Amino acid sequence: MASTDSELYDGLLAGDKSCLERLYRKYEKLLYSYAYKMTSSHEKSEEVVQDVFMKLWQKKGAYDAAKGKMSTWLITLTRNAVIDLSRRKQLDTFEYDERDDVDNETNPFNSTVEKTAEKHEDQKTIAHAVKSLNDEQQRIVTLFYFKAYSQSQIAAALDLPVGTVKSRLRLALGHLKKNIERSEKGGTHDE
Amino acid sequence: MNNKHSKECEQLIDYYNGQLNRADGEAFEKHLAECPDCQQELAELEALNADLVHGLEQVEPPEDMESRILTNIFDSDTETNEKQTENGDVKPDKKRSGTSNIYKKMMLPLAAALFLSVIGNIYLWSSQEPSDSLSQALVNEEEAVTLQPSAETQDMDAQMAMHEEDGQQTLVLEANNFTNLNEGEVYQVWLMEDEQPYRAGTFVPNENGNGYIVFTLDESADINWDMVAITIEGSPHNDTPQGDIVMSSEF
Repeated sequence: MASTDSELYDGLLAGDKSCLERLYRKYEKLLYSYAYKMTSSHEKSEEVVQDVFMKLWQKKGAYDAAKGKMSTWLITLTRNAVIDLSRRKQLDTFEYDERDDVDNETNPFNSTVEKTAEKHEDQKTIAHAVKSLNDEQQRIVTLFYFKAYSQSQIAAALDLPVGTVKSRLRLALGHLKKNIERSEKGGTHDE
Repeated sequence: MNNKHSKECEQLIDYYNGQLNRADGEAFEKHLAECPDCQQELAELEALNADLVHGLEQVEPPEDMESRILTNIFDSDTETNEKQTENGDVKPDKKRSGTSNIYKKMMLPLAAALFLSVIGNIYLWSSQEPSDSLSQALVNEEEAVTLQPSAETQDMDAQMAMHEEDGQQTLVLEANNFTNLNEGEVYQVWLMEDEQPYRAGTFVPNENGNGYIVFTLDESADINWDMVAITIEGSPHNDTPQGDIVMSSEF
Protein backbone atom coordinates (compact mmCIF):
# COMPACT_ATOMS: atom_id res chain seq x y z
CA MET A 1 0.00 0.00 0.00
CA ALA A 2 1.30 3.39 -0.98
CA SER A 3 1.63 5.45 2.10
CA THR A 4 3.95 8.43 1.90
CA ASP A 5 2.71 11.67 0.43
CA SER A 6 5.18 11.33 -2.41
CA GLU A 7 3.93 7.86 -3.26
CA LEU A 8 0.34 9.05 -3.19
CA TYR A 9 1.28 11.96 -5.39
CA ASP A 10 2.99 9.67 -7.89
CA GLY A 11 -0.09 7.48 -7.81
CA LEU A 12 -2.44 10.30 -8.61
CA LEU A 13 -0.20 11.47 -11.43
CA ALA A 14 -0.62 8.00 -12.84
CA GLY A 15 -4.37 8.48 -12.64
CA ASP A 16 -5.08 6.46 -9.50
CA LYS A 17 -8.20 7.98 -8.00
CA SER A 18 -7.73 6.30 -4.65
CA CYS A 19 -4.43 8.15 -4.21
CA LEU A 20 -6.13 11.49 -4.69
CA GLU A 21 -8.87 10.45 -2.29
CA ARG A 22 -6.35 9.51 0.36
CA LEU A 23 -4.44 12.76 -0.02
CA TYR A 24 -7.73 14.61 0.09
CA ARG A 25 -8.81 12.94 3.31
CA LYS A 26 -5.45 13.57 4.88
CA TYR A 27 -5.37 17.30 4.17
CA GLU A 28 -8.99 18.33 3.79
CA LYS A 29 -9.41 19.68 7.29
CA LEU A 30 -6.08 21.47 7.45
CA LEU A 31 -6.57 23.24 4.14
CA TYR A 32 -10.20 24.00 4.84
CA SER A 33 -9.30 25.51 8.20
CA TYR A 34 -6.65 27.60 6.55
CA ALA A 35 -8.95 28.79 3.77
CA TYR A 36 -11.56 29.60 6.38
CA LYS A 37 -9.06 31.59 8.35
CA MET A 38 -8.32 33.69 5.30
CA THR A 39 -11.83 34.04 3.87
CA SER A 40 -14.12 33.73 6.92
CA SER A 41 -16.52 31.96 4.58
CA HIS A 42 -17.45 28.28 4.49
CA GLU A 43 -18.60 28.59 0.91
CA LYS A 44 -15.40 30.20 -0.32
CA SER A 45 -13.33 27.75 1.69
CA GLU A 46 -14.97 24.81 -0.02
CA GLU A 47 -14.40 26.42 -3.39
CA VAL A 48 -10.75 26.89 -2.53
CA VAL A 49 -10.24 23.31 -1.35
CA GLN A 50 -11.87 22.02 -4.51
CA ASP A 51 -9.69 24.30 -6.58
CA VAL A 52 -6.54 22.94 -4.95
CA PHE A 53 -7.38 19.27 -5.44
CA MET A 54 -8.68 19.91 -8.93
CA LYS A 55 -5.29 21.39 -9.81
CA LEU A 56 -3.62 18.37 -8.31
CA TRP A 57 -5.72 15.93 -10.28
CA GLN A 58 -5.35 17.88 -13.48
CA LYS A 59 -1.60 17.97 -12.98
CA LYS A 60 -1.33 21.71 -13.02
CA GLY A 61 1.83 22.63 -11.18
CA ALA A 62 4.24 19.96 -10.10
CA TYR A 63 5.23 18.98 -6.61
CA ASP A 64 8.94 18.57 -6.10
CA ALA A 65 9.76 16.55 -3.01
CA ALA A 66 13.29 17.95 -3.07
CA LYS A 67 11.92 21.40 -2.39
CA GLY A 68 9.98 20.63 0.73
CA LYS A 69 7.07 18.90 2.37
CA MET A 70 3.90 18.07 0.52
CA SER A 71 1.88 19.83 3.22
CA THR A 72 3.82 23.06 2.70
CA TRP A 73 3.23 22.86 -1.01
CA LEU A 74 -0.49 22.23 -0.55
CA ILE A 75 -0.73 25.13 1.87
CA THR A 76 0.93 27.41 -0.67
CA LEU A 77 -1.50 26.19 -3.36
CA THR A 78 -4.35 26.92 -0.97
CA ARG A 79 -3.03 30.37 -0.27
CA ASN A 80 -2.72 31.16 -3.97
CA ALA A 81 -6.22 29.83 -4.57
CA VAL A 82 -7.63 32.10 -1.87
CA ILE A 83 -5.83 35.10 -3.34
CA ASP A 84 -6.97 34.20 -6.87
CA LEU A 85 -10.53 33.79 -5.70
CA SER A 86 -10.60 37.13 -3.97
CA ARG A 87 -9.16 38.86 -7.03
CA ARG A 88 -11.50 37.08 -9.39
CA LYS A 89 -14.59 37.92 -7.47
CA GLN A 90 -13.23 41.21 -6.25
CA LEU A 91 -14.29 40.28 -2.79
CA ASP A 92 -13.09 42.10 0.20
CA THR A 93 -11.87 38.84 1.56
CA PHE A 94 -9.10 40.41 3.48
CA GLU A 95 -10.85 43.30 5.17
CA TYR A 96 -9.28 44.16 8.41
CA ASP A 97 -11.69 43.66 11.26
CA GLU A 98 -11.74 43.28 14.99
CA ARG A 99 -10.74 39.66 14.80
CA ASP A 100 -7.31 40.83 13.82
CA ASP A 101 -6.84 42.49 17.14
CA VAL A 102 -4.66 40.26 19.16
CA ASP A 103 -6.45 40.82 22.44
CA ASN A 104 -9.75 39.68 21.02
CA GLU A 105 -11.13 36.40 22.31
CA THR A 106 -11.60 35.04 18.82
CA ASN A 107 -8.01 35.44 17.75
CA PRO A 108 -7.05 31.94 16.70
CA PHE A 109 -3.74 32.12 18.42
CA ASN A 110 -5.16 33.48 21.59
CA SER A 111 -7.16 32.20 24.49
CA THR A 112 -9.24 29.57 22.71
CA VAL A 113 -6.18 27.54 21.97
CA GLU A 114 -5.46 26.97 25.58
CA LYS A 115 -9.08 26.42 26.48
CA THR A 116 -9.33 23.43 24.22
CA ALA A 117 -7.79 20.43 25.87
CA GLU A 118 -7.24 18.18 22.89
CA LYS A 119 -5.00 20.46 20.85
CA HIS A 120 -2.14 18.81 19.11
CA GLU A 121 1.25 19.52 20.51
CA ASP A 122 2.51 21.31 17.43
CA GLN A 123 -0.59 23.43 17.42
CA LYS A 124 0.15 24.54 20.96
CA THR A 125 3.74 25.11 20.04
CA ILE A 126 2.90 27.40 17.15
CA ALA A 127 0.25 29.28 19.06
CA HIS A 128 2.72 29.80 21.85
CA ALA A 129 5.37 31.01 19.47
CA VAL A 130 2.96 33.58 18.02
CA LYS A 131 1.86 34.75 21.42
CA SER A 132 5.44 35.29 22.40
CA LEU A 133 5.62 38.13 19.89
CA ASN A 134 4.68 41.61 20.99
CA ASP A 135 1.30 42.99 19.91
CA GLU A 136 2.56 44.89 16.92
CA GLN A 137 4.49 41.88 15.70
CA GLN A 138 1.46 39.66 16.05
CA ARG A 139 -0.60 42.15 14.06
CA ILE A 140 1.95 42.47 11.32
CA VAL A 141 2.23 38.68 11.02
CA THR A 142 -1.55 38.33 10.80
CA LEU A 143 -1.93 41.10 8.23
CA PHE A 144 0.88 39.76 6.13
CA TYR A 145 0.06 36.06 6.24
CA PHE A 146 -3.69 35.82 6.73
CA LYS A 147 -4.88 39.02 5.15
CA ALA A 148 -2.30 38.98 2.35
CA TYR A 149 -1.92 42.73 2.72
CA SER A 150 0.50 44.68 0.58
CA GLN A 151 3.30 46.59 2.27
CA SER A 152 1.41 49.85 1.89
CA GLN A 153 -1.80 48.35 3.29
CA ILE A 154 0.11 47.07 6.30
CA ALA A 155 1.63 50.50 6.73
CA ALA A 156 -1.81 52.12 6.68
CA ALA A 157 -3.36 49.57 9.04
CA LEU A 158 -0.60 49.90 11.60
CA ASP A 159 0.08 53.57 11.04
CA LEU A 160 3.68 52.96 10.07
CA PRO A 161 5.77 54.57 7.35
CA VAL A 162 5.79 52.26 4.30
CA GLY A 163 9.55 52.18 4.38
CA THR A 164 9.63 50.52 7.78
CA VAL A 165 7.06 47.81 7.12
CA LYS A 166 9.52 45.44 5.57
CA SER A 167 12.08 45.68 8.32
CA ARG A 168 9.40 45.31 11.01
CA LEU A 169 7.94 42.36 9.18
CA ARG A 170 11.32 40.69 8.82
CA LEU A 171 12.02 41.21 12.46
CA ALA A 172 8.65 39.75 13.48
CA LEU A 173 9.07 36.75 11.17
CA GLY A 174 12.59 36.21 12.43
CA HIS A 175 11.40 36.14 16.04
CA LEU A 176 8.55 33.87 15.16
CA LYS A 177 10.83 31.44 13.42
CA LYS A 178 13.23 31.33 16.33
CA ASN A 179 10.38 30.82 18.78
CA ILE A 180 9.05 27.92 16.77
CA GLU A 181 12.46 26.33 16.37
CA ARG A 182 13.17 26.67 20.04
CA SER A 183 9.95 25.13 21.20
CA GLU A 184 10.23 22.36 18.67
CA LYS A 185 13.52 21.47 20.24
CA GLY A 186 11.75 21.33 23.57
CA GLY A 187 13.20 24.58 24.84
CA THR A 188 11.29 27.43 26.41
CA HIS A 189 10.40 30.84 25.10
CA ASP A 190 12.27 33.70 26.59
CA GLU A 191 10.47 36.58 24.95
CA MET B 1 17.56 39.02 4.63
CA ASN B 2 20.94 40.14 3.49
CA ASN B 3 22.27 43.31 1.99
CA LYS B 4 22.61 42.26 -1.59
CA HIS B 5 18.96 42.87 -2.30
CA SER B 6 18.32 44.70 -5.52
CA LYS B 7 15.35 46.93 -6.01
CA GLU B 8 13.45 44.06 -7.55
CA CYS B 9 13.88 41.99 -4.42
CA GLU B 10 11.85 44.64 -2.61
CA GLN B 11 8.79 43.37 -4.40
CA LEU B 12 8.92 39.87 -2.98
CA ILE B 13 6.44 40.59 -0.19
CA ASP B 14 3.85 42.08 -2.48
CA TYR B 15 4.44 39.34 -4.99
CA TYR B 16 3.88 36.70 -2.34
CA ASN B 17 0.58 38.30 -1.43
CA GLY B 18 -0.57 38.59 -5.02
CA GLN B 19 -0.49 42.36 -4.78
CA LEU B 20 1.46 43.09 -7.95
CA ASN B 21 -0.33 43.85 -11.18
CA ARG B 22 0.09 41.39 -13.99
CA ALA B 23 3.01 43.12 -15.67
CA ASP B 24 4.92 43.63 -12.43
CA GLY B 25 4.12 40.10 -11.36
CA GLU B 26 5.51 38.64 -14.55
CA ALA B 27 8.57 40.85 -14.36
CA PHE B 28 9.14 39.72 -10.80
CA GLU B 29 8.83 36.06 -11.76
CA LYS B 30 11.60 36.56 -14.27
CA HIS B 31 13.72 38.11 -11.58
CA LEU B 32 12.81 35.35 -9.15
CA ALA B 33 13.96 32.68 -11.56
CA GLU B 34 17.44 34.21 -11.49
CA CYS B 35 17.72 35.38 -7.90
CA PRO B 36 18.72 32.72 -5.39
CA ASP B 37 18.16 35.16 -2.52
CA CYS B 38 14.55 35.70 -3.44
CA GLN B 39 14.03 32.01 -4.07
CA GLN B 40 15.32 31.21 -0.63
CA GLU B 41 13.34 33.95 1.03
CA LEU B 42 10.18 32.87 -0.72
CA ALA B 43 10.74 29.29 0.40
CA GLU B 44 11.24 30.54 3.96
CA LEU B 45 8.05 32.59 3.81
CA GLU B 46 6.16 29.54 2.59
CA ALA B 47 7.64 27.27 5.22
CA LEU B 48 6.90 29.68 8.06
CA ASN B 49 3.38 30.13 6.74
CA ALA B 50 2.94 26.35 6.76
CA ASP B 51 4.05 26.31 10.40
CA LEU B 52 1.48 28.95 11.22
CA VAL B 53 -1.25 27.07 9.40
CA HIS B 54 -0.48 23.96 11.42
CA GLY B 55 -1.03 26.07 14.50
CA LEU B 56 -4.46 27.31 13.47
CA GLU B 57 -7.61 26.19 15.14
CA GLN B 58 -9.14 23.45 13.05
CA VAL B 59 -12.48 24.14 11.45
CA GLU B 60 -14.70 21.16 10.69
CA PRO B 61 -15.57 21.05 6.96
CA PRO B 62 -19.19 20.29 6.02
CA GLU B 63 -19.89 16.56 6.11
CA ASP B 64 -20.82 16.21 2.47
CA MET B 65 -17.99 18.39 1.18
CA GLU B 66 -15.76 15.42 0.42
CA SER B 67 -18.27 13.70 -1.84
CA ARG B 68 -19.14 16.97 -3.57
CA ILE B 69 -15.54 17.87 -4.28
CA LEU B 70 -14.36 14.42 -5.32
CA THR B 71 -17.37 13.99 -7.59
CA ASN B 72 -16.71 17.34 -9.23
CA ILE B 73 -13.06 16.50 -9.71
CA PHE B 74 -13.62 13.08 -11.20
CA ASP B 75 -16.50 14.34 -13.34
CA SER B 76 -14.14 16.88 -14.84
CA ASP B 77 -11.94 14.01 -15.88
CA THR B 78 -13.15 13.32 -19.37
CA GLU B 79 -13.18 16.97 -20.16
CA THR B 80 -9.65 17.32 -18.86
CA ASN B 81 -8.40 14.53 -21.00
CA GLU B 82 -9.90 16.18 -24.00
CA LYS B 83 -8.16 19.41 -23.14
CA GLN B 84 -4.88 17.59 -22.82
CA THR B 85 -5.47 16.08 -26.18
CA GLU B 86 -5.76 19.54 -27.60
CA ASN B 87 -2.84 21.09 -25.87
CA GLY B 88 -0.67 18.37 -24.52
CA ASP B 89 1.21 15.38 -25.72
CA VAL B 90 -0.14 15.36 -29.20
CA LYS B 91 2.02 17.93 -30.88
CA PRO B 92 0.29 21.22 -31.44
CA ASP B 93 0.25 22.09 -35.09
CA LYS B 94 -1.08 25.44 -36.12
CA LYS B 95 -1.68 24.33 -39.65
CA ARG B 96 -4.25 21.96 -38.24
CA SER B 97 -5.87 24.25 -35.77
CA GLY B 98 -9.21 23.19 -37.20
CA THR B 99 -8.48 19.63 -36.23
CA SER B 100 -8.44 20.34 -32.55
CA ASN B 101 -12.08 21.29 -32.81
CA ILE B 102 -12.75 17.65 -33.39
CA TYR B 103 -12.22 17.05 -29.75
CA LYS B 104 -14.62 19.72 -28.63
CA LYS B 105 -17.39 18.27 -30.65
CA MET B 106 -16.79 14.64 -30.08
CA MET B 107 -17.85 14.28 -26.49
CA LEU B 108 -21.43 13.40 -27.22
CA PRO B 109 -20.69 10.91 -29.97
CA LEU B 110 -17.83 9.45 -27.98
CA ALA B 111 -19.94 8.96 -24.90
CA ALA B 112 -22.65 7.43 -27.01
CA ALA B 113 -20.23 5.20 -28.85
CA LEU B 114 -18.88 3.93 -25.57
CA PHE B 115 -22.22 2.49 -24.65
CA LEU B 116 -23.19 1.41 -28.12
CA SER B 117 -23.22 -2.33 -28.07
CA VAL B 118 -26.20 -3.64 -29.96
CA ILE B 119 -27.75 -1.47 -32.58
CA GLY B 120 -30.92 -1.90 -34.51
CA ASN B 121 -31.38 1.39 -36.18
CA ILE B 122 -28.72 3.96 -36.00
CA TYR B 123 -28.70 7.62 -36.72
CA LEU B 124 -25.74 9.22 -38.33
CA TRP B 125 -25.05 12.28 -36.31
CA SER B 126 -24.10 14.26 -39.34
CA SER B 127 -27.32 13.76 -41.22
CA GLN B 128 -29.75 12.85 -38.48
CA GLU B 129 -31.24 10.41 -40.93
CA PRO B 130 -31.82 6.84 -39.86
CA SER B 131 -30.20 4.02 -41.74
CA ASP B 132 -31.30 0.44 -41.37
CA SER B 133 -28.11 -0.87 -39.96
CA LEU B 134 -24.51 -0.07 -39.65
CA SER B 135 -23.61 -2.89 -42.02
CA GLN B 136 -25.86 -1.44 -44.60
CA ALA B 137 -24.38 1.96 -44.13
CA LEU B 138 -21.00 0.42 -44.73
CA VAL B 139 -22.08 -1.59 -47.71
CA ASN B 140 -23.64 1.45 -49.28
CA GLU B 141 -20.48 3.31 -48.85
CA GLU B 142 -18.15 2.88 -51.76
CA GLU B 143 -15.09 3.65 -49.77
CA ALA B 144 -15.61 1.01 -47.13
CA VAL B 145 -12.32 -0.27 -45.82
CA THR B 146 -11.72 -3.75 -44.47
CA LEU B 147 -9.20 -3.71 -41.69
CA GLN B 148 -6.39 -6.23 -41.64
CA PRO B 149 -5.79 -8.23 -38.49
CA SER B 150 -2.41 -8.28 -36.87
CA ALA B 151 -0.96 -11.74 -36.26
CA GLU B 152 -2.78 -12.69 -33.10
CA THR B 153 -6.18 -11.53 -34.15
CA GLN B 154 -7.02 -13.79 -37.06
CA ASP B 155 -10.69 -14.23 -36.27
CA MET B 156 -11.36 -10.57 -35.91
CA ASP B 157 -13.17 -8.70 -38.57
CA ALA B 158 -13.72 -4.99 -38.92
CA GLN B 159 -14.94 -2.69 -41.62
CA MET B 160 -15.04 1.03 -41.63
CA ALA B 161 -16.04 3.90 -43.84
CA MET B 162 -15.81 7.64 -43.77
CA HIS B 163 -19.00 9.46 -44.62
CA GLU B 164 -19.00 13.02 -45.71
CA GLU B 165 -22.21 14.93 -45.52
CA ASP B 166 -22.69 18.66 -45.28
CA GLY B 167 -18.95 19.03 -45.01
CA GLN B 168 -18.84 16.89 -41.91
CA GLN B 169 -16.86 13.68 -41.67
CA THR B 170 -18.26 10.73 -39.82
CA LEU B 171 -16.36 7.55 -39.21
CA VAL B 172 -18.49 4.42 -39.11
CA LEU B 173 -16.94 1.20 -37.97
CA GLU B 174 -18.29 -2.26 -37.38
CA ALA B 175 -16.30 -4.88 -35.53
CA ASN B 176 -16.98 -8.61 -35.19
CA ASN B 177 -15.30 -11.29 -33.08
CA PHE B 178 -13.59 -8.69 -30.95
CA THR B 179 -13.25 -10.89 -27.93
CA ASN B 180 -9.78 -10.32 -26.53
CA LEU B 181 -10.61 -7.53 -24.11
CA ASN B 182 -9.81 -7.74 -20.43
CA GLU B 183 -11.80 -6.13 -17.65
CA GLY B 184 -11.51 -2.34 -17.80
CA GLU B 185 -10.00 -2.26 -21.28
CA VAL B 186 -11.54 -0.69 -24.36
CA TYR B 187 -10.97 -0.81 -28.07
CA GLN B 188 -9.80 2.56 -29.34
CA VAL B 189 -10.01 3.59 -32.95
CA TRP B 190 -7.32 5.91 -34.27
CA LEU B 191 -7.02 7.81 -37.48
CA MET B 192 -3.47 8.53 -38.51
CA GLU B 193 -1.92 11.14 -40.70
CA ASP B 194 1.87 11.16 -41.05
CA GLU B 195 2.09 8.88 -38.02
CA GLN B 196 0.18 11.42 -35.98
CA PRO B 197 -2.68 9.66 -34.16
CA TYR B 198 -6.12 11.16 -33.68
CA ARG B 199 -8.65 9.53 -31.42
CA ALA B 200 -11.69 8.44 -33.33
CA GLY B 201 -13.87 6.77 -30.76
CA THR B 202 -13.83 4.02 -28.23
CA PHE B 203 -15.96 0.92 -27.98
CA VAL B 204 -16.58 -2.09 -25.84
CA PRO B 205 -18.10 -4.96 -27.81
CA ASN B 206 -21.12 -6.89 -26.65
CA GLU B 207 -20.87 -10.45 -25.34
CA ASN B 208 -20.76 -11.80 -28.87
CA GLY B 209 -17.75 -9.68 -29.68
CA ASN B 210 -19.61 -7.21 -31.88
CA GLY B 211 -19.08 -3.50 -31.57
CA TYR B 212 -19.90 -0.39 -33.50
CA ILE B 213 -18.74 3.16 -33.66
CA VAL B 214 -20.23 6.22 -35.24
CA PHE B 215 -17.87 9.06 -34.69
CA THR B 216 -18.37 12.55 -35.98
CA LEU B 217 -15.29 14.56 -36.81
CA ASP B 218 -15.18 18.28 -36.94
CA GLU B 219 -16.56 19.76 -40.13
CA SER B 220 -13.41 21.74 -40.79
CA ALA B 221 -11.28 18.63 -40.64
CA ASP B 222 -9.78 18.30 -44.08
CA ILE B 223 -7.07 15.87 -43.23
CA ASN B 224 -6.06 13.19 -45.66
CA TRP B 225 -6.02 10.22 -43.36
CA ASP B 226 -3.54 7.60 -44.39
CA MET B 227 -4.26 4.92 -41.85
CA VAL B 228 -6.85 3.61 -39.44
CA ALA B 229 -5.97 1.38 -36.52
CA ILE B 230 -7.67 -0.23 -33.56
CA THR B 231 -5.75 -0.75 -30.35
CA ILE B 232 -6.56 -2.16 -26.94
CA GLU B 233 -6.23 0.56 -24.33
CA GLY B 234 -6.39 0.36 -20.56
CA SER B 235 -8.34 3.59 -20.45
CA PRO B 236 -10.81 5.23 -22.81
CA HIS B 237 -8.92 8.48 -22.33
CA ASN B 238 -5.44 7.67 -23.58
CA ASP B 239 -4.29 10.50 -25.80
CA THR B 240 -1.87 8.40 -27.78
CA PRO B 241 -1.91 4.70 -28.59
CA GLN B 242 -0.32 2.72 -25.79
CA GLY B 243 -1.74 -0.71 -26.34
CA ASP B 244 -1.24 -3.30 -29.06
CA ILE B 245 -2.71 -2.78 -32.49
CA VAL B 246 -5.25 -5.47 -33.20
CA MET B 247 -6.43 -4.32 -36.61
CA SER B 248 -5.32 -1.70 -39.08
CA SER B 249 -5.55 -0.58 -42.64
CA GLU B 250 -4.01 1.98 -44.91
CA PHE B 251 -6.28 4.12 -47.00
